[in-house]
Amino acid sequence: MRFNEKELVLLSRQPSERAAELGMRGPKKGDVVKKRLVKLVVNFLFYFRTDEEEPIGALLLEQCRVEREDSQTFSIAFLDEAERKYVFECDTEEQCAEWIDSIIKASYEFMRKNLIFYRTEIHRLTGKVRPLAAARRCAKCHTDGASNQQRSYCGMVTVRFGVHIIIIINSRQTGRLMKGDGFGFARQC
Amino acid sequence: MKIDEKVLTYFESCNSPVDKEGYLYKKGEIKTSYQKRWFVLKGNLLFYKDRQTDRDLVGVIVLEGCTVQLCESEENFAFSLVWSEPGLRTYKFAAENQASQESWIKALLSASHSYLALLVVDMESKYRDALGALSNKPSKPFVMPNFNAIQPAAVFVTSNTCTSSALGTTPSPNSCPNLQALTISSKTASKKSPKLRPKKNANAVPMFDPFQTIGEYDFNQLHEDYGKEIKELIVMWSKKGHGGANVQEENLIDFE
Repeated sequence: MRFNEKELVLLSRQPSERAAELGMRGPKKGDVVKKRLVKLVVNFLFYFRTDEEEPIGALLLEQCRVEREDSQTFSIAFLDEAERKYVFECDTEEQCAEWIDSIIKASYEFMRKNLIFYRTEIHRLTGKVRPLAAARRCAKCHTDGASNQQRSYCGMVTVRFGVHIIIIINSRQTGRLMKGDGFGFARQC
Repeated sequence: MKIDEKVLTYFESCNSPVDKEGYLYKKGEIKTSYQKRWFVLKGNLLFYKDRQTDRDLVGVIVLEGCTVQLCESEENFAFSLVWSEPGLRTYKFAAENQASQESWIKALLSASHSYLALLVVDMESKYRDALGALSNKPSKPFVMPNFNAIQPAAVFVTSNTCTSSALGTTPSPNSCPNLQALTISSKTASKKSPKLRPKKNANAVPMFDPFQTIGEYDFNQLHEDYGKEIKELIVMWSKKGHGGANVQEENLIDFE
């Protein structure tokens, strides 16, 4: 299976939610516990040999079950089988509990469910639904997908809040698209 | 660097929500020709294979740290995924028509984990505001559920027992949580719940249609609904009284 390895290695160098040296045992029979630097970035768990720059491997933390094995050990199991179980040994009970909590909350699907929960609760409490950026109505043509930006400029076009922006190009200020000061252009709606 | 392919393959094929899927042309990594592939977007992962019905994945693209851009190309309806660090690549795609191109760009723009994290933080603060506003009004007390209860795929289980103490409020306190917990509760809800539940469309992105998801994902409401039926049954059984108990014994297997 191909994957964007270099880009994933870059991701492993980003600021992490949690990183520590843990004892790690692989899922196959005969795998032994080895000391690894384990790093949680978005919904991936990267593991490195201590002092190495490139991770040995990456685990996707979706559709997995995190269990406490004993007071200082937790495991991550995949595929509804006991077989593909990665085991991690921590230094303290507290550290173990913190890792379990972080891993559970790192999954994309977990976050998605939280989002849905908040939206339905907000609706229940206020009777209103707060639209997400992509679900806004265009003030001109009344279809969904209007910009949530106050103003955005490209070389030629100034776009005001609530106007249909079909495609946003953000070549220079890529990280700030969501905060409303990105560049963009408006396609006629 | 190794990646656990079995886990990725399983994740692509399982029934977790699909954000978008469809055919796109992808520019080859070695050959420069565009090849038609079936793409499946789930969260921050873009899977691709030769055909929709294939089980084997050709590959996956992790969508973190990239931007989505229109690009210059001989192909119509082209767009690209760009990592701006030196040495990192650009993936080029072409869609079949403008609608598909725009739809894919929109979907890929909001695919990253960090974007979702921002949304959740934003929603959470709006939620707390709404709670705060309500505290001025006289209403039935609302208990904020412990988020450990709302675990979809990743479930925290204490060794040997499936206690509900750590999990807080759960819809079925006696059942053991499993990987498909949320899917199962939605399915049984559609059979047993007194309310009409809308059909679950795996392809729909739930966050864009709040009215469809209300009720499906409201655990407190599900708990109440289940509870009503149980309470009614208990009342019924206690009315039957001892007569009912005798009948029950005769129906049991006779070990003569």
